[in-house]
Amino acid sequence: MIVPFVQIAAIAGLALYFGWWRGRNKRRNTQSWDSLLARLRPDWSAREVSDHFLWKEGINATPEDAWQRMGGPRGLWVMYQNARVMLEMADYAAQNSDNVDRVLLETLRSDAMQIRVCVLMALAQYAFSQASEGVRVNAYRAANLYASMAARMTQLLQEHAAAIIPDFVAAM
Amino acid sequence: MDTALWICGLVEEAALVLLLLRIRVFRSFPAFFLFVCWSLVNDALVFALRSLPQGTFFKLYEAQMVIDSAMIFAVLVELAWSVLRPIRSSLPRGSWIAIAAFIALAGLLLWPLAGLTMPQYLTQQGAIFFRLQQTFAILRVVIFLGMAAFSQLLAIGWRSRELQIATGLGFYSIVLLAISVLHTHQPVGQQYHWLDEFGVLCYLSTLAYWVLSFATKEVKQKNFSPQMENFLLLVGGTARTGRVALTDSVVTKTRPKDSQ
Repeated sequence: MIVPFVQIAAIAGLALYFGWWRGRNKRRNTQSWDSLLARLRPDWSAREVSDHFLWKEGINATPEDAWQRMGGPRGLWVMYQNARVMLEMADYAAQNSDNVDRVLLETLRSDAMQIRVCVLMALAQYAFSQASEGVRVNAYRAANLYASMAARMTQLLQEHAAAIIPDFVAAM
Repeated sequence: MDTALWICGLVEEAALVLLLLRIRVFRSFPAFFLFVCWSLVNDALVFALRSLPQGTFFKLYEAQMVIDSAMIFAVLVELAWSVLRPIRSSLPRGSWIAIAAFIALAGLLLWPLAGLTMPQYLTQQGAIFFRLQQTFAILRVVIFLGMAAFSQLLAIGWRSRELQIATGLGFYSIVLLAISVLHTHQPVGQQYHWLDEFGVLCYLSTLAYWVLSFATKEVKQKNFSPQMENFLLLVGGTARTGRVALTDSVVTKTRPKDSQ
């Protein structure tokens, strides 16, 4: 008697997930550039791994130091979320301009996905083996790409939209 | 009631085919276009031949279901391939064949699962038919949700048209699966038939949704300023620089080991 209820509950769960996913994708296709910038998460800042974060590329820490300073999985998760925002920025550009270099957009997408994959691998390894060397190397790779992207973004804002630099610096 | 539903379905399918032809959807989604055309031809044929003897009609229905399943399979492969568009360049050539093989494998794995809750009153032929129906109902949902979860994990976006096709097919697939599951727990009778009619109503809603969606023009491009374009150029450039620097550092780090 319980089997039909379990089956129906499972299907209802799938339907709810499908609805949620669909709504999220629809919102994603209609969001504005400002709302994208506002979604950058400030919970953890890559300042912890770079003395000149937002102003210079790269990080000045060894994989071991970087892992300590990013607070382990907490920092990784923030990078994971912010990489998503970067990807959505690339999608936004693809949807709204015919002049943006398509190859470059694909490179950007690929690199943002690389950050996400590095983070997911690091988190999965961390779940099984805590902070092993593999975890720290993956976290370091993600942090290095992340810090470089952020530095370029600051440079651009400085040149074209200096007024929003304080908000951006605070958000990062 | 059944005839009215059937005629409504034919009208909606014809409207959708005309609309898809007008906006040339067959260029980007040929399998989906063929699937809608097939649905129209098939429904018209079955409607015209409904007065045939039951045995002959059932054989016809069986053949139509096999073609229908193949069409759905093609649409799933096409949709998955379309969603992977942003990362296609980094995938090996012929990856779509791997996708097709993966979906086929999923279908094979689901076949025994679909047979776990079969109604006892079915004949041998009816049981195969029922199992095929249920396998495809589960496969559609599993593949759709798999695609959704995978794209969410890698933050891959779905374009409006992809999302519209997936919404319609996903919704109808979930309804079909629910009906299929409920059928396994009820005897054949009036209530059994009501559920089938409910399924047809959901199919009509899906068609209406597609007609409305495809009749609406895609959202116009927003003003994407040169500054924003520069922003992406800079960010994209950084990603590459970071990767090269990292590769260099890894190579430098591993060289002493190599020379040992």
